[in-house]
Parts: sequence; C-alpha cells; structure tokens
Amino acid sequence: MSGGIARGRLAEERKAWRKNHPHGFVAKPETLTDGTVNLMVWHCTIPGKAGGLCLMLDCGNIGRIGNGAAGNSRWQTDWEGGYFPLTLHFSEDYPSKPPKCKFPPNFFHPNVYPSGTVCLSILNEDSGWRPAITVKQILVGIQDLLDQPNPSDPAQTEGYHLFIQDAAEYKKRVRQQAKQYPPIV
Amino acid sequence: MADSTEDFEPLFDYSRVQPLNFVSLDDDDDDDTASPALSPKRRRIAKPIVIEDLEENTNVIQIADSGKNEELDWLSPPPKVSRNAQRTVVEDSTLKELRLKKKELESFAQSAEDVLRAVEESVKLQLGSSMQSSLEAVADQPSKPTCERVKIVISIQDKDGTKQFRIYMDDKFERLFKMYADKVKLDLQNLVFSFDGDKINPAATPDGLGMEENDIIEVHVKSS
Repeated sequence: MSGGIARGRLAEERKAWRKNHPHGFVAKPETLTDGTVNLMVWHCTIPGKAGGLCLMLDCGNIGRIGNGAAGNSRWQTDWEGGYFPLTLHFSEDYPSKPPKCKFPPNFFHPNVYPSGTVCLSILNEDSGWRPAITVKQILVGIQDLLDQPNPSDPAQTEGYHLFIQDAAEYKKRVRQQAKQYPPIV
Repeated sequence: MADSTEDFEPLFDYSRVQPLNFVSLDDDDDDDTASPALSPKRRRIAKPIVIEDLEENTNVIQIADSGKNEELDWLSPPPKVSRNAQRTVVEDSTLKELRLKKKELESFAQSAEDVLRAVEESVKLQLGSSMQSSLEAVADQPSKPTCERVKIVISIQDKDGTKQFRIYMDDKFERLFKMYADKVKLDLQNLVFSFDGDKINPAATPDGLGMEENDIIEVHVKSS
C-alpha cells in the first residue's frame, strides 16, 4: 500500500503548510469539479525573489544589481513581482520518489524543459532527492533556482543561450515573463 | 579488568564485615582461633558443603532443627525481628501523619459538601420563588454555553512576519481586516488579504472558507 504512504505523507505536508509557509507562496492540493480533493496533484505559486538589502558581495554579482533607484541600496531580482504557477505531480511512490514539478509549457528559464518540467538536483531521484525533503523545501529550492540558474545543466536552448551569450536580452526576457504572471490578488 | 575486580571486591571483603578486635586476634593464632571467629558466617554460607569438622556439623544440625528448614533458618536471623520492630515504629509515625491528613481531607470534603448543599438550597429557593413561566428561561440558559460561538486563532502574515488574531468562526472577515489595518497603521484600502492564493471577500467568514486553527492569511500591500 505505497499509495497509502504517499497520501498520508501528503496530508501531513498539507497540514504543516497551512500552519506555516513562506510569504507569497501558495501550495494546495487540486480540487476536482465534484468538490473532492486530489492530494496527488498540487497547484502552487512561487513568487519571484524580492531581493534584499545590497550587501557588498551581492553588488558584485552581475544580474542581481537593481535598476538603480536613486539613493536606494536595495537590489531586486528580475523575477520580482512575478507569481509563477507551478504544478507538483506526486506518484504513488512518493516520498521514495520525488514529485514532478512543472511550470507552464515554454517557461523561460535555462533549467526548465520545453514541457515546463523543472530540472533541479534535489528533484532528481538519482541525485539529490531525499524522502525527507518537504514541499516547502522544494518550492523554496525552485524559487532559488529561478534567480540562480545552473548553466552546467541546461534544459532548454533559448534560455540557456541567452543566459550564456546575451545577459541584457536574458534580463529583458525574464522581466517580461515576470509581468506575464502578476499577483492574483 | 581492573574495573571489574574492583566492582566485585566489596562483596567478598570480609574485613569490612568483621569487627576490628577479631582481626587482631586472628593475627595471634592463625587457624584455630580464626575458625571460631568466622564460624557464624561459615556455618550459614557453607552449610551444605562443609562436613569436615564434626563440631561444626552438630552445630549446623542444631540450627537446622531449630529453624526446621534450611532456607527459613537462613532467612530468619534475629535482625529480621529488630527490623520489624523498627518498621512498626516508623509505620506508627507515618500512620499518625496519614490519619491526620485523612481527617484534614475529611473536614475539607465536609466543608465542600456544606457549601454545595448551601448553593443547591439557594438555587432551589430561587427556582421556587421564580414563577414556573421562568422555567423556559432556565431551560435556555444551559443551552447557551453549548452553542457559544466558536473562536479560532488565525495568523495574518506579511513579508516581515505574522500576527495572530482570535476571531469567531462565523464572523465576517471585514472586522478582522479592520483590526489588522488599525494595528499596523495602514490604510485598509491598500491591503489585499488572501487565503491559499485566493483573495478573501470581506463578507466571507472563516467557517465559509473551511479555515482551521492556526491557518495563515497572507496580506499584500498594494504598490500604487
């Protein structure tokens, strides 16, 4: 009864999430048209990282420097303001196996496949996945990935090439995409 | 190894058991005088095994006879009696204490009963004095606490942290939102509240949204 284990764990995950989750994130199991809840598919929202105060180290990091609001030492990421929809598909083998995490198809990011599936080590059964990783950790991990792509593990050509070859165009595309996904509220 | 031998040492260290003057006697005449000193111990421990010395044997038999049973003889040395005596002495004092406490408790219980009786009587008197028509009102009263409005704690989370509020399950959110806006000194117009990613209608209630204890409402400040 591995399905029982998966559902039990997911019920716990949902319970924990309701009591405590990072601001701006949404994670809830799918509700079917007949009103029943499907714990195996979760609809989530990942907010683009808001950045923070400009520390010396961060300022040297190209691509993270803010758009220069005068007298403001706060930097922001190009992803800020976007609320990106992500769907988690859990299998009956969860938590032995990780969920498949999908953005909408053709999501612009070097580590997202054209299908929308996220390529991230902690989501790889043969690499960094551990059954103890929580939904919260997955979502925060993906939020980090948005702003910090991994060029050694590309999943789409367009995002990867622009990231490597044309930083300005890459930045523009990222900001465009953030505007495509405004806050729901 | 050293530790283990140390552990066992006290068990067989007869010098600790024996009075000091006997030890000094032992030094004078080794075997003969030593045996009477040790005999009481030896008799008990080695009873079934030692058959060499006739005198000792007879002694053993005597003791066995008086004790009827070897094990009983073993277990019924004089100290037991003294222990019993001690016990009874101790028990006496504790029993006294217990009795005193019991009396105290009884008096407490008695006074509590008296109070209860007094209350009951007063209630009966009140009931009696009030007209029978008021029985309906009395019937209403006990039902009130059971259908008391349920309260839950809900956290409102902004970018910097959460604040907890205790609200009625069937209370409209607008009251909570106003409370929050007052607390953070922000214009309610600029605040957007959401639950599970959906904007909350101020006319909705926690009950209506299926909220549970400690659920989180997120607040976003409109950037205008």
